[in-house]
Amino acid sequence: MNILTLHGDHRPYFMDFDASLLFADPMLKIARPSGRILRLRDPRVRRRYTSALHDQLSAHNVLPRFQDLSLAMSSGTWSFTHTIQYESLDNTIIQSMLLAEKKAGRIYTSTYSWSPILKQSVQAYRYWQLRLKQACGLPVSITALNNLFQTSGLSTHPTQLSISTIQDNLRSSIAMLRSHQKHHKELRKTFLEELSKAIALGSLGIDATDPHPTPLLATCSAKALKSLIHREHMRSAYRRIGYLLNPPSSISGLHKVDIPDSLVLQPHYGDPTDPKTWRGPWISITSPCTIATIIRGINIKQYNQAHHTPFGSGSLATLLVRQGDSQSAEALLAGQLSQASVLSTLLPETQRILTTLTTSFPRLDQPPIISDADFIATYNRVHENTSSSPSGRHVGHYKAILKDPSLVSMHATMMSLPFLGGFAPPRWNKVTDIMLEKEPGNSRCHRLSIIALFESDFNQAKRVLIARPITHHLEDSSLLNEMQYGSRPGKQCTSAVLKKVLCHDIIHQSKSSAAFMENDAVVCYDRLVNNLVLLILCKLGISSSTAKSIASNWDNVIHLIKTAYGTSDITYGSSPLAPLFGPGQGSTDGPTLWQILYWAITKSIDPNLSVARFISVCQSIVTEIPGISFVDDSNVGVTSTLLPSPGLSDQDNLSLTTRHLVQDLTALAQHWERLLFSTGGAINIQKATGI
Amino acid sequence: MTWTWKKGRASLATIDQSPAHLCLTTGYDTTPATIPRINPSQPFCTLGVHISPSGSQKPQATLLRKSSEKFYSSLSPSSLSPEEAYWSYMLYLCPKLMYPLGCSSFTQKQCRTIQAPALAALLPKLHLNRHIPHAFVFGPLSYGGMALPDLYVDQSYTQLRLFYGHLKLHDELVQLL
Repeated sequence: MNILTLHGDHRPYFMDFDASLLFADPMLKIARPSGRILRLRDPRVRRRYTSALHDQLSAHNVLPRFQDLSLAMSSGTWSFTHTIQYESLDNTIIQSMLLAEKKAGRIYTSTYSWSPILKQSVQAYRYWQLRLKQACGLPVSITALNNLFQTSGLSTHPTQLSISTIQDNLRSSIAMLRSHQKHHKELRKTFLEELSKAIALGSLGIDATDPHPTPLLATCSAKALKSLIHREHMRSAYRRIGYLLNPPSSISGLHKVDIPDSLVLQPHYGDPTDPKTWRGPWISITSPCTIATIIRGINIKQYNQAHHTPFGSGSLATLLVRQGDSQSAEALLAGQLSQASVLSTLLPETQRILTTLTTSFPRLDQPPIISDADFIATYNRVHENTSSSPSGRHVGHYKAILKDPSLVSMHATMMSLPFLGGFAPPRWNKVTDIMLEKEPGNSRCHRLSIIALFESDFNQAKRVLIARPITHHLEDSSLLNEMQYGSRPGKQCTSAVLKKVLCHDIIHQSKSSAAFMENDAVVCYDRLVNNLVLLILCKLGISSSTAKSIASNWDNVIHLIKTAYGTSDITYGSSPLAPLFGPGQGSTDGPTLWQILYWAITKSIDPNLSVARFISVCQSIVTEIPGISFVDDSNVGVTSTLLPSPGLSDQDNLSLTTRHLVQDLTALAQHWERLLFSTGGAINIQKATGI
Repeated sequence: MTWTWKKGRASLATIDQSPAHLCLTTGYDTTPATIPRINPSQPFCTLGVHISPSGSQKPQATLLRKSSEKFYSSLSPSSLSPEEAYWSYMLYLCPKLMYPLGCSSFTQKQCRTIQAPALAALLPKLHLNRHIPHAFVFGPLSYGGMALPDLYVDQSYTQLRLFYGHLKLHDELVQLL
């Protein structure tokens, strides 16, 4: 602290506290949320970015190199050398994109509304501060001084000035800054007027230097200005409403993890290694390194849950291998069941799943090529603020170039090549794990959920090549059971609830007897077994190179852990001892992959089991409903077909009906549980309810 | 859900009246676990909607009333402008209150009870008397009203929308309807 800066009659006192003693905590530095330099609202920023990117790409000779790779793929001469070249080219493109972003954009605070004039006055103030420091003989970077001068809008850059002159200039710059801060809204309005003109020029395709602009320009400009002002006003209103009704926590990101205190052991506290059942005291871990280590353990356990299921480990898993591309797997796809010795060791439900896989059904045969139109359509739908990309290639980079055909073509082809070549680039293998508290404020280790942030282009490529075509294929071919209401186009969550309510209502009206079990599949997206998913994808007509690329990505994935303290150096991935399963929450193909497993489950339900049966009064409409699902939240139910016996008392009839219902429901629910288990899933018994 | 008959009138049997255990094994574990049962009058939450096998609407109505009261306690002491208060009601509270309406069958009185605290906070913010007639508050703009959503009307509208949607799809739900 500079004591000379303290002016006044008061005597300053200084107290130096040891933070770790005062707060009983080392007061670790919270990482600032990374701001994006590239924002797309201003078309001038887009233009600057595109131009800078073109410069960088041409300087690194990227387009010819990229065309060579495309040629190698189309001519069928792709080799391992080309994969290496692809990775090198991808690195060059990343560097070019990040550099272009730096050149194009800006970062500013939101305390005052941003405008170029306010920015200049801040730079002028900083410039004169540095000049004063220099005049006092303190070391100052000349480059920084020159940069500040260039951005401050000052007219002269005098080399020799007395301290008093510099102090005068500093005072006037402070006064100017205060005045501009006071009038920041007016300055912002002026800036918006200029911006609206630029937007109008961009949309009409007129050059800014044109001396005779079209009369339409004024209309367009006024419209753009009105829209900009309205949006700014609404954004500010929404922010105020959000702060009022849902006050955000002071720190974004996980800054502590609570774990069971294993030093305090009492018989009634339970097992400290099982936090769900722990009744004893908890301790808070605040050290970033320890938090990351604990999260790594939790996440490995989470992603490894499907390991002890039939397709995850054991004889069947060995036969089909993790990538689902063994000879037995191919034979299965061709309609031949596995070896009898293996089949005999499996659960009957697992055998039913295998039988389902051998049956033939409509295929979707399309090459894994992302066209320019696909790329534009996908990125037009993605919101700019969507979090993604550990490499820094956020969504804004892709949205900024949507009007540039050559860059669109480059990105679309670079996204297609790994799926055509059957490999996964190292950049795509990096995934950032964000841990969210299921209940805000509760950071107990078992109450955290993982959100995986993938590379944006990889995630969107999966949407274009897998999620969208498979979902539509399943719908068009009527492969999905009517039980499922989640992740399906045209279906609503409330429809599933309405169906349950209607079932209850019919039971009420007809005074019939029924039993239901509400159940929830545990972390369904993190328990999708790789080989089974890949087998079904291939069965549905996804190309083998795409399946190979996806399998390679799942095997070589590297998870980075991000907390409030930033991204940790501690990473984890799939290993033979603890293989990781599932695409993770945040993957665009997760819902579709769950959907295809769900299809396999419902297709394998034993038709001989009793289900809920509703008959209309006229006896002409009979509806059989084994259950109702919304993604992983399911309900299975049965109705009683037993007629009351006149020879028995009411109580005896009731007991008999109840026994009969429970027996049928147990059979159906157990069958459901085993089918789910066979595909890698599990029922959350603690949350299941019988009705 | 089984029935007991008394003097020709049926009522849903409670767990005590129809005792039974639903036991399931999980995975390769052969130890059966008992699934807890709920009484027909007891509500349970499914996909964000509280329903009860007995068809009771009370639990859901109580929860919605709580949301409305929370909105009242947040909005009343705030310094939001009339426009912001209006948007907070329309964009924050209304979707929350309207979500379960497609599956509920609240009476008009229940709907008014749910909406009352929210309106008591909103109307003063809009510089209106809190006792202003509902005809004005819920009336359409063409008749000089404010066109604020009325839960009772929206309940019917949502149900009709669901009915027509499923009628066009001609799925299982329509067969149940």
